[in-house]
Amino acid sequence: MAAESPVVSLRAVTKMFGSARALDEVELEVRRGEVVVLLGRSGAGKSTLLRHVAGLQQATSGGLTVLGTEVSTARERELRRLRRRIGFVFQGFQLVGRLSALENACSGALGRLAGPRLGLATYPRAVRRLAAEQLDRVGLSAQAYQRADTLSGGEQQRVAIARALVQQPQILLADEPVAALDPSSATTVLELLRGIAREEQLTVICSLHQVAPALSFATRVVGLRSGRVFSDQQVSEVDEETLARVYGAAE
Amino acid sequence: MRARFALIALAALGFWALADLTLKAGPSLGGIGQAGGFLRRAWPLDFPPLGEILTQVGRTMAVVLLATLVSVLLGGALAVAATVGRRFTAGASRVALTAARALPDVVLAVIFIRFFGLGALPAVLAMGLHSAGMVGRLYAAAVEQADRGPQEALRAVGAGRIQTFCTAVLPQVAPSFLSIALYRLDINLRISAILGYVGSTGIGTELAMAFGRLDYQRGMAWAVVLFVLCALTEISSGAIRRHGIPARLCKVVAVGGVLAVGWAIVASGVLEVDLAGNWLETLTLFWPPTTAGAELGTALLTTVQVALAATALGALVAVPLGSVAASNVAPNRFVYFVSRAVVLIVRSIPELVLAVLFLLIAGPGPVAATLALAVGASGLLGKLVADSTEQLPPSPALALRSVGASRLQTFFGATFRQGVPDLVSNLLYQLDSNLRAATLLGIVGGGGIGLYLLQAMRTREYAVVTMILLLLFAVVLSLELLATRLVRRIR
Ligand SMILES: Nc1ncnc2c1ncn2[C@@H]1O[C@H](COP(=O)(O)OP(=O)(O)OP(=O)(O)O)[C@@H](O)[C@H]1O
Ligand SMILES: [Mg+2]
Repeated sequence: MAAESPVVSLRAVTKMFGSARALDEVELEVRRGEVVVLLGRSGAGKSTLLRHVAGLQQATSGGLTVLGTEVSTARERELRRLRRRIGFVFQGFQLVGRLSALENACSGALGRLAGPRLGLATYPRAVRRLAAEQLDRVGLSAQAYQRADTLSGGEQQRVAIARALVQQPQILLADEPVAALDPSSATTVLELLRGIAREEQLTVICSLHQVAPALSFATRVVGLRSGRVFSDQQVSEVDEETLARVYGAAE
Repeated sequence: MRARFALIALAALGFWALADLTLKAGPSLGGIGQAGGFLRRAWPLDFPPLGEILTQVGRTMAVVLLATLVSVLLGGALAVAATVGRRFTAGASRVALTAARALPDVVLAVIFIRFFGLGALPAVLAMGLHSAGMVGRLYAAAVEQADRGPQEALRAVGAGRIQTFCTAVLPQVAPSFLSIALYRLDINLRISAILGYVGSTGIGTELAMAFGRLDYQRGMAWAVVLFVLCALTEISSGAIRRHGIPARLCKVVAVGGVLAVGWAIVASGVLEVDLAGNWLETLTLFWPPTTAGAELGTALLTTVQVALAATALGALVAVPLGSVAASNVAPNRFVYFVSRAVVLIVRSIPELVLAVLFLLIAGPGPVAATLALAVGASGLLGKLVADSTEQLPPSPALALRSVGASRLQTFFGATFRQGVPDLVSNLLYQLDSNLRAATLLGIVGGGGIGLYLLQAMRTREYAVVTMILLLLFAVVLSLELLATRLVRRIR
């Protein structure tokens, strides 16, 4: 792979749900180290786009290359290998509530481990150490042995980030990671994500609901409207008018 | 509308069956007068020495524990394959689960006895296979209801299906898996007692032998032992189901469980297998299936009638009883507690004990079986009715209360009507369970197809056993398919 070739590239990707068009001929290239924020109204197709990049959903038509893998033609095994290299942070955290924070973080390593794991003790020592380090990094080493469903929302999302980091990913996808959080936890989580992205030189694609945090977080802002890329600007070039139209009712 | 129609149809079928059965029984029903005589002959109860009781209790529990273990392992594996497997595996596993459910355990027991000889193994295998279907269906439902969020997250991590299941699903469903296994343990205990009649080991066999030599004092004593055992098991498993196992005791319980299984393998004597000759030769005894001139069709009809009549009779008691045992209908706390207690006690009497009582009082035949099953059904149905009534949304009832309707008007105007779909699905569940029980009770003396099964076993007409197996399989399967469709439609 040449150094300047994009890590993620979508070519005319279309996704139909029945007769509804969730993604409509989306064209998008993301380069290494970029932090892209997706903006768009509810139903614009943000989650669907992220799921496609992670190989969790298959496009109806079009081409999608992620980290050199052609997703649309990949077999399940190749997709698994690809997903291993992509961290995914969800709006609803999606932790296993009855397991401890540490075990949830460890589960990020499942993709590179063979066979099932039952309990913390069944993970290799190196994974446990890595998971503990990542929990420490998100500021939760004190809560490592607490059950995930007893943590606050902000803490749960930080555990989910630790889980993604244990994957040691090259791309980090985040789908409205702070929508379920109160403003102060939201700020903590976004700052954490930004710091990590910079330190690790991660490529980040993150959907957000609000414009202000997007502008301080992103290097590039992509506006989606009805499944189409409506605007695509570097953060320095973003103008209010375009963003208003991303959310605007009329064309 | 559909639900009400189904309810009326079920009631009509039930009472037709009841009328037909009593009509056929006719004069022989004079046995009610024997009740006094029987009680005189059974009193005082003659309990065997404590050591003997403990040995038989141990054997019974060992068989039941192993059968439940088989069903949890087999049913669990099929449930996992049915829910997380690829399309073909999942489909095949669902078919296997449905087939296992429709397998009549007692017929299986008869067949396995021919292969492995008398003892614990046939009972363990027969009950294990049948309950695997039951357990597996409930396990699959639990997996389907598990939160999908963590599963998607692990898929995104690149985990495989089994890895995702173990990390994201198993911790979520573990409590319900345990409670389903305990629930099945209760049921298997009751069934194992009846399997004693076809030559398993444990309390059922002792009971059968005592009644066989007309030793009612000893027989009833064993019935009391069985009742107490069932009640104790139900109380303790109920307590575990409600409160779960505290995290700090998990390790102790796990070690205890492994030790218990080891003990059960030794105590039950499953390993003492008496391989009866050449298996291939034995197999040919079972094929081709034949009726050998026996009127199996009529007998099967009788069994179905017993199930229908017992369900209808049971419902007659269970609907009022279960309604007042629901906290949102009960007029006061006293009625609530008394009716809940009645339901609990009736439900914990094992079918075999009921059957033996009614057979001795009313004389052998389908009427006694119907009465025994009806009592059992009123307990179980009563609980189901009470529980589902408590789940009903309160708003329609509140609306009626607020316009000044009386308690009774509210019940019939809102609560009962809302509850009809639940009632129909509970009735169908009860009918299904009664159909299996009616077959079992036939062996004890309740007539119907069970009687022919016992005869075929005694006369070694194994081709007839195969025929009975196929007939019962077909009837149970069609009832289940019908019930599933009906329940889906009236929802
Ligand atoms: N599994 C699905 N089945 C059917 N339709 C779907 C499915 N997933 C998404 N859609 C539809 O596709 C469109 C895009 O959905 P998507 O979830 O990507 O929007 P979104 O931009 O993430 O919205 P939100 O901000 O509310 O999360 C919506 O119209 C939605 O109804
Ligand atoms: Mg979304």
